[in-house]
Amino acid sequence: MTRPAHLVSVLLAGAAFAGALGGLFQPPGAPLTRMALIPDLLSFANGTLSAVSNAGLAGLAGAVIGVCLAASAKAGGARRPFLLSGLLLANPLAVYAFAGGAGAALLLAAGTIVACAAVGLAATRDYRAAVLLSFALALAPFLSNTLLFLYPLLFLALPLASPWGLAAQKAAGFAVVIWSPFAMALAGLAYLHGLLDPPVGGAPFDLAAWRGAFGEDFLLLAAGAGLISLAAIAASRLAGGLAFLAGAELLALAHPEWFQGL
Amino acid sequence: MAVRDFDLWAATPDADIQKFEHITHYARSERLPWKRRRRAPNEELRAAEAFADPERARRFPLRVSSYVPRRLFSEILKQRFEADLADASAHSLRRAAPQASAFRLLTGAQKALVAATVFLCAAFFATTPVGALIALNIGVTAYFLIAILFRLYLTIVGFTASGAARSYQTLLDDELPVATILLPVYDEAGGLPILKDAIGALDYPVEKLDIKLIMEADDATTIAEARRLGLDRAWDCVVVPPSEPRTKPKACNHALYLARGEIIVIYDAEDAPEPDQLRKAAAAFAASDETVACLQARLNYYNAGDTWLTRLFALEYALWFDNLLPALEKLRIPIPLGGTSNFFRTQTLIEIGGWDPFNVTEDADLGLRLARRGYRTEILDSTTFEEANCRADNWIRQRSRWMKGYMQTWLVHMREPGEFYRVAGWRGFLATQLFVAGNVFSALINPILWAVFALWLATHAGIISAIFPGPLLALNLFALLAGNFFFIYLAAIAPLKRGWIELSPSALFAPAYWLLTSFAAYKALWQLATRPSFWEKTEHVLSAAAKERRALALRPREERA
Repeated sequence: MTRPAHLVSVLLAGAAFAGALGGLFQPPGAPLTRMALIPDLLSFANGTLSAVSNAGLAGLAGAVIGVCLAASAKAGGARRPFLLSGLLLANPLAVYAFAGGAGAALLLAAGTIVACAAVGLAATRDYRAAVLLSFALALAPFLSNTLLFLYPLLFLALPLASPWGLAAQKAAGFAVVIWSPFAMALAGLAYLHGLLDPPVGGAPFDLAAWRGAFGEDFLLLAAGAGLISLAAIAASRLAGGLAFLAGAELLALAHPEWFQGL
Repeated sequence: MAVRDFDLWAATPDADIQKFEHITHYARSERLPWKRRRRAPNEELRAAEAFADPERARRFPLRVSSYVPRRLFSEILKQRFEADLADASAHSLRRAAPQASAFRLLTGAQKALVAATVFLCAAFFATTPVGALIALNIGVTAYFLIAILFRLYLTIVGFTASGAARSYQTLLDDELPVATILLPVYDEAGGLPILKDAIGALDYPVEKLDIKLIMEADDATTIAEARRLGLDRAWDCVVVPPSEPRTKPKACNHALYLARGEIIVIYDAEDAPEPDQLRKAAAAFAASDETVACLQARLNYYNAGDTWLTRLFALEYALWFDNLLPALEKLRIPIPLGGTSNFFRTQTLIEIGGWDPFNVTEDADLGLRLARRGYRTEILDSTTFEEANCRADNWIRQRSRWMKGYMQTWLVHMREPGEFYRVAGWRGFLATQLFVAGNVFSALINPILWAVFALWLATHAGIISAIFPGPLLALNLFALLAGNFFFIYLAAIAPLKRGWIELSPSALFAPAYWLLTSFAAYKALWQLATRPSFWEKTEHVLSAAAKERRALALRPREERA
């Protein structure tokens, strides 16, 4: 298996795993739980896994992150291993995430996946990174819901940051590629939501309901993850993206309230 | 050494020593036995160009030879075997392997199976109509779920396969094999200048090219245009006498017998292959073992951005040739070939019987037939650009032919499903069901499903609810929503490998394209029953891009800059 392929496969698996765990462990009444097509199966899985402690889950999430990073480290480019290792190890949000428990660690996993995809895309215009990024962005709300708060900003900014250039048609194409899984997931789930279980307490687009279900920790982490993506792509240079990331994260740690309104 | 000239025109050939079963040998060696002598060496006709190297002449010393220009040799060969060629190109496969030919649409066993299925379904429906509809619903849902999962599997494999584009050792000119290029044309007078330019742009030693322009005898316009352009002097023009079936594979078979190349490739009239494509193919064959019998170049369109139809057509090709075919190749799944830019080892192609002249997607059939004989097809990392259909009526004509051909191909290869499964393995067998039968089935069933869905949304009719009991509803909705979304997304990302990201938004219009495909599929089904081997002609040089190319090709070379 080639190295980029290795990266993509592992990251997709990581995204799926993190998304699944995130969905299972959301509070009752969270959108994914409510939209479950096979509630019995979900309850069964939830019941089985609830026996596992938070520490164990954090460990699992850590393993996912570790696998992602290990794969990233092999993903070509002499500097990439060091940069990506540094990205995690020097990241104060990582420590914060693990201190925050299983949910936060899972969110960090998703954030890492988004970041890896974004870095890969910016560095190589690799279509696989674009696919990965689009799936990560579509999966992220199911992990924490809170990334949704960042989406209006990302929605506006990402096409402008297309690595394929700013020509209107290219930017539009990039927007479609990046956002269509998310849009399709929302459209499909909104439809199923209405069809199978009429909304209780608001549709998936109801930001207040989403915000109420989850704490600010998630929002803070989500801001970091989103900014990683944006920065890396906008800069289209690995080093520039990382510098932007570092600044944004420091800002997020210092003034989390600034990010809550996004 | 008994080499001396004989007087060709004075010596009437002995018909009994010129055997049609050896014609491919005559063509490739460019030696034709002429007369048997009792107490003297036999006489033989040779193409002078092939024996320019005295060393080669010395290898066949025990002949009295007459040397003629290559063009004349070729004409003599064609004339001598004209009737045999016409007969063999249409009927040799069905005589040698009737099970492999679409001459008969259904075998006796297949007819019995169809009749039994229809009877059982009718009986089931008559006794428990709701139960029958639920069973049908389960079958359709299961099919779509399998199709989605398999596509997903191939997409992931395609991601990993695409990173490993092969590179082969470049061959020196001396090492390159003679390559035969087949150019079947019918009613393509307008496209000939473009074709002449495109073939002329190929980077390959001229003396190692055997270019055959294949025309139908009753296509006077194209023949006249070929003469006007001087193609009858530059290339070998093969004129196929009128006979049934009037198909491209029959014309190609005709020329296949006359090919002198070690490798052979087929291009359509509107094709513009990348200039180094032949060299890449020669290098790939040289580096591969004999089990690699075919190389399929990627196809796409030079007028992709013209209309919504061409954009979606280009997305479809990008998905198929750039993403899915590499996955099929990697998994060693039989590949239904695209209709052009297929390279073969000539000898292998002859041995397996050439193209099926009764099959209107002879390419797809040939890909599967090769696989059944243990041969492999690899994807060549080179693109041929074509003119995408920009008119819906023309597109439907082409697509309905493809759909009909896929039906023929599936019926032919399912005559012995057990044997096919044994050779192709579960993945190959499943892929054939999904890509050959499944393409047609999806197109036929899609509008019905959407109609049922729309009806249910509008009316919530009880009968529709009754045939979608709980879990089936969930699965069905998943197949409908996730499946359609997934296929739209696949179309959106398909052009990224080429950097054609501007085409991605067109993927959102894919459902309209699928509707058009469904229309073509129903037309194909009708034609399959009424005119199975009828070749519905696609018009070319309709787009602005193609017209521009034609105008450019007609200008004198010095004016083009």
